[in-house]
Amino acid sequence: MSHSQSKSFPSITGLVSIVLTSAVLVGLSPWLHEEFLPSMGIGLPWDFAIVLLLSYMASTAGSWLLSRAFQRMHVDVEWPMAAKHMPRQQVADEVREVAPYLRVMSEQLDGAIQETEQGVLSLITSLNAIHTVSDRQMQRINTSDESGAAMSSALEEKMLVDKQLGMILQMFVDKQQADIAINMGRIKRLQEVQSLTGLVADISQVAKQTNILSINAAVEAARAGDSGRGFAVLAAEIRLLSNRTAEAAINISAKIKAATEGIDDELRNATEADERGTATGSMRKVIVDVDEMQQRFSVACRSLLKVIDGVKLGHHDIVMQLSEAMGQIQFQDVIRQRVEQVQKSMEELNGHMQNMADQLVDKPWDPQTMVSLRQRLDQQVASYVMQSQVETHQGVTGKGPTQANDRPNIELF
Amino acid sequence: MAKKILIVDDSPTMTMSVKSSLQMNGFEVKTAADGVQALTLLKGGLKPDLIITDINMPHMGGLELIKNVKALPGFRFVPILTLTTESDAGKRDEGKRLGATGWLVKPISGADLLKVIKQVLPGT
Repeated sequence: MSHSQSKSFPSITGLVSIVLTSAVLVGLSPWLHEEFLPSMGIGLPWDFAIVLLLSYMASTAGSWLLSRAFQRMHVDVEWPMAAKHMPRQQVADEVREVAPYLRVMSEQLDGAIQETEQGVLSLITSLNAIHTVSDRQMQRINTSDESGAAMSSALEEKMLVDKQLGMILQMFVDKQQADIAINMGRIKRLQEVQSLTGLVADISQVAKQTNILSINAAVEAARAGDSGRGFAVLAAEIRLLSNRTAEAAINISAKIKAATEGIDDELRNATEADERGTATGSMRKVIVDVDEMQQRFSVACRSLLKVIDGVKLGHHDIVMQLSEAMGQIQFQDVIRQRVEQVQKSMEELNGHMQNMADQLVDKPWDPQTMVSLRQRLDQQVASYVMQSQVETHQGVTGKGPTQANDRPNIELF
Repeated sequence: MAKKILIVDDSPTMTMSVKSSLQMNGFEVKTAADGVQALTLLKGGLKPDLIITDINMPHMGGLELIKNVKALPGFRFVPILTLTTESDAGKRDEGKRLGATGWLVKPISGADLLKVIKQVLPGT
């Protein structure tokens, strides 16, 4: 039902006033006029005035008595055809019920703050545990790093020793190879003995021809008789000498042959050994193997140090990420303060409502002491600490500080 | 040797998160729940290299703490940073007047906090 509709009808007390006035006018006026007033010698003007006075007094008294009776019953009585408003007392009772309602809301917010606080504290504990694990890992890595550095150092020393050893081996192999080459040269030079075989053949030929000459000389000496006897002796001696020369040539030839055969055998063996290259080849293989092993160790060592560096960087990243997470956790404190400010405002709203309920039924209305809700809302701005609170207030009410806060969030003085 | 930092805040989540963040980065950290506790620690012999304090706290707020710390013998040059939700320019100017080194508004990222600390504490 609308307010204007209720205003268009008179109240019951007004109706009673009209009824009483009409009753006095209709009921008492003829009697007063005919029976009472003429006997007192009062004229028509006075008669009319007295009737009006009586009717007014009757209607006023009746209205007053009725309104008192309704007040005692705490009932607002209105014209029966009009829709009812909420009774004032009920309005006051309802307004007072705002107190427990707001208290429940405030407690709910308290519970929510506590839950987020507990959750955030547990989260921080978990993040700290992650950091502890990463820190231990880092300590292990530092130990590995030290071991790796020690291994690297030992490996470098070993590589130096191996390198020196390799150089010695290389020198040995080179010298051995040079010696073999020299020996081969010598053996080859010994083969020149074989060229003596030709000389021995010449000696044999000379011995043979000398023998023939001695035979011829002996024949000629025999022909000469006694005069050739001395010559025959000489021829015989020459023959003996040629025979012995021929024998010596045969012996020399045999020995040269034996010698050259031995040299050939040695040369063949040496050449074959050189071609097989067993000793120096093995040594060279050892040198190459050691060198390869050093390279592999070196690569492995570098990889290990790279892994250690990677883990160190990873730990640093973890710390940075955890620090960021710790910074983001500050949101809980910001939210807590905003919620606490809302709780404070709810408390103030409750005080306002209780005061209103008091002035509605129990205390006289005092507009001077009753600060309006709108005024209270405007006063809220002074209690804000965060720029975000001010901005939210301005967004809803359109009111707030005229001077914008343009100070940075990080300011070093 | 690790630098010592005193954190003063009535919010346990704030003290714990900032403490953890700084400890992870090699700082030694002590905490206090308000200005009164902080002053008790300082008078008891704690000599931090830096104090980080909230502003709005029960018992004794940040501005009063700054004033009291600056009056303590040997603490005049100890840097004090505020870490607070308070963004009121008047209070900020008051903090500067009392001797605060800087004003940081929550929430602040871990990297930014470390950057500021490195500026305030050279060599860290």
